This record gives sequence, structure tokens and C-alpha cells, in this order.
Amino acid sequence: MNNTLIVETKNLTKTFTGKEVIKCCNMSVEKGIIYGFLGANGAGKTTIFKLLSGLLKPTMGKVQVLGMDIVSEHSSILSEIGTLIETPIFYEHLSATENLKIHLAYMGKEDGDIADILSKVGLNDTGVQPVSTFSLGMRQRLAIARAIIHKPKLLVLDEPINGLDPMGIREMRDLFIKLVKTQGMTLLISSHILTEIEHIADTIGVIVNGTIVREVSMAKVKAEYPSGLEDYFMDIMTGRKENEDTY
Amino acid sequence: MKTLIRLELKKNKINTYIIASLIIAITMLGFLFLFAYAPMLEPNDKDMAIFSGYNNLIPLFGVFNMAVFCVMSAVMYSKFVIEDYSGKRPILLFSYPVSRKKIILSKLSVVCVFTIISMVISNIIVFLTFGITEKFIHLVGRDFTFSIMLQVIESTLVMSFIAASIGVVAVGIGFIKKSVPTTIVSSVLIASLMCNIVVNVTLSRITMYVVAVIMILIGIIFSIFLIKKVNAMEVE
Repeated sequence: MNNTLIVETKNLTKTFTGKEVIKCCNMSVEKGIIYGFLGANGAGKTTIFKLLSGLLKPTMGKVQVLGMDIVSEHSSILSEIGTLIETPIFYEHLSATENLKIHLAYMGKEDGDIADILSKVGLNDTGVQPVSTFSLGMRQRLAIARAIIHKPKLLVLDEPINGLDPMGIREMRDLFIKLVKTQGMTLLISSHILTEIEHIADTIGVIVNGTIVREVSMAKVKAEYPSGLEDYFMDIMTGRKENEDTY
Repeated sequence: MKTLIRLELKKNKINTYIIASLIIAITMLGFLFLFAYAPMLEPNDKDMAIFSGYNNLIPLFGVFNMAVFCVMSAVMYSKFVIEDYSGKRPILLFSYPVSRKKIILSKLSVVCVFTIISMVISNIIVFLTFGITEKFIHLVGRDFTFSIMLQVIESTLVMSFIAASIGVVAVGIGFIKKSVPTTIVSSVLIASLMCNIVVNVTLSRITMYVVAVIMILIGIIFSIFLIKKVNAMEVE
């Protein structure tokens, strides 16, 4: 097992009532990078993220996160990762601070600086306002705050910039880059907005119909496709690069 | 486990249920007076005999009270268990590094203990008030003595355990479909069934205990079923 790999899946397969949603998926994410995860709607991005965070159990194959097996060492992995999967869920009648307090208590970590994190995501003046009154963008910010407050080693973010305003997108982008640079976190981000991934990702992975077909460094894509990630992505989707090996 | 229980109390507004229990206690007090007064309405009616004397009044009122608290515990279970494990909500609970078994157990025990405590306290308050007013207005022929109070406490304790068990069974049934209405309807059905059984066995102390123990065992079986279900759950 390679020590620098934070996430490694081998021949990962997941079936839902007989239908293979994830097929023989091999994924490797190195330590300290931002991994952009691309794929069409329904390709299996969220399913992969759920498998990585133990919300789903693999039908076949192996998943290792931080060098630990996802099935047998589930709890120890969960305390080291931060997740934002699908629409974030909160305790609606409680304030942002109380939600984070409960989160820290469940995580078994009491030392999180709630005020600091809230100001980082731009929610410092919400006070005692219950989460039920928050807008979509504010919820997304709070969800990001919750994912990072317990200082995880790996962040799994599914569409983290959904519902954010342009200012918010830039703030979050800077925050993500800072987390990787200063705290040595590894980020796994999926997004529909290709330019966003282009801005921050070091490596990108492309999933088509439940199989990761490409894993390539951003530098290489930029060298091959000076016009940007979009052309690269479209080429894979339409099958023009099918016979070429980019690994 | 202690911290988990504290967190459950923090997450859910427990005050709502305390207020509900108080309202139940006040309503129940009204019913108790009504039951005690009923034989006086038509002294010659033989059917009214089921209300006369403490020996009839206590079990009758007890099962009625039990049914009410069964429904309240089913409502609490719906809020604590069914809602937290349906739809996308389990994503939140399952992303904590705490065993799923412990989380569901802490939820079950919070509701179970709350049901028992609130039922016992509410019953003691109701009967104490009734006992005091009996000193001035004589509705039941005999005096309200200390031994009657002990009898009340004993039957209330036993019935509160039955009520808590019925709640667990109801939530177990409701959990299959993750449905709040199923939970509440099954609690009403089981409670009305149990009322008929319990009211007939309260006259003999041993059978009352046997029924209670059987209900508690069934409750434990359903808890194990729930834990297994939660452990195997996947969030699609």
C-alpha cells in the first residue's frame, strides 16, 4: 500500500437491486492535493462519495481511506474525514453555533474554535438565529464550516459551491486552497462547474457510467488543452479520447 | 452513552413533551373526577358499578392513562427515531464516528425513561389531588388512605413499563415503512388491545406482573430488531 495515497479503491463495485451503479472503479487520491471529480449527472459521483464515507457498503472490491479499510475501521475513518454530501441537513431549530457544538461533541473533539470557523465561512453575525431561517447559500456555508471544524485529514465535498454567490465562490475557493496549503488537508471535490474545478484542482478524475475512465494531473490537461478543461471533458464524454491512455 | 443521551436531549425540544405531559395530567384529573362521579348520576344503574370503589376505579383509570401515554411515547419515538432515520437525515447521524447501535440505544432509552417518569409523576399528582379533594367532597364511599396510594403507585409503575414497551413495539412496526402515521396508529391499536387485557388482570397481582414482563420482553426483541435494521442501513 502506497503511504501517500489518502484514498484508494480497487475494483470497487456497487449494485442497487441488481443494477451496477459503480463498476470496477479504481481511484487513487494522493496526499495534500485537491482532486476534482467530474462526471455527468447520474454517473455515480455521489455514490462514490457515499461509499468513501461509509454511508453505503461496497458490494465488491476494496476501499481504503487514510490507509484504513472502510468496512472494518469505519469509526476511525469517520473521525478523520469531513463530509458534505447532497443537501446538507441541520438541526433546524438550533443556531449555527449550537449545530457546530453538537457536531463537535459527536466527533469527540472539544477544541474546535467555532467563532473562528464561522467567520472564515462568513457566518459570524448569525447569532442565535435558527438554521431554519437560513438561505440556501448560508446553509452551504454552514455545511462547509461543519465539514472542516474538526480538522479532518480528508475533506469530501459534493457540489460544495451550489447556491453560493460569486463572492462566496471566490471566498470558498481561497479557503479550500488555504486548507490544503496550511493544514495539509486533502480535498475531494465534485462540481458541475468545470471552470471552478479548473481553478483549484491539482488532479482530476472523470467518471463515466460508474467507472473512472481518466485520472490525470491538471498540469497535463493544461498542456494538452490550452483552451481549458471544458474541451478535455467534452472529448472524453463524446468518446474521442476513448482509445488513448492518459494514465 | 451519557453524552449521547445529553446530545439527544439538546437536539430535540424536550420541553414540548413536558408541557404535553402536564396537559395530559390535568385532563386525566378531570376524567378521574368524572369516573368517580359517574355512579352518583344514576345510583340504580348496575352498569355504573364498574366505576364504584377504588378497586374498580384505579385499574380503569390506570389503563386509560396508559393508553394516553402510549400514544405520547409513540409520538416521541416518531420524532426521535423515525424522522431521524428517514429520507436523507441519516446522512447526518451516520457521519459521526459513534457506533450506530449506541445512537439508536440512546434514543430509545431517552424516550423510554421519559415515558416512565412522566407517567408515574403525572399519576401521583393526579391521585394526590384527588385524595386531597376526597377529604372535602366525598365522591367515592371510602376514605383515600395511604394503602390506596401505594396500590396506585404500584399499578402505575407496572403500567408505565407496559406503556414504554408498547411504544418500542409501535416504533418497530413504523420503522419498516419509516412512517410516522404507522407508528402512531399501531401504538393506538396495541394500546387498546392491551387495555382490555390489563384491566382484566389487574385484580390479580401475579398475572399483572406476568403481562408486564411479557410486554417488556417483546419490547426488548423489537429494540434488537431496530438496532439490526439501523446497523444494516444504507443511505441511497
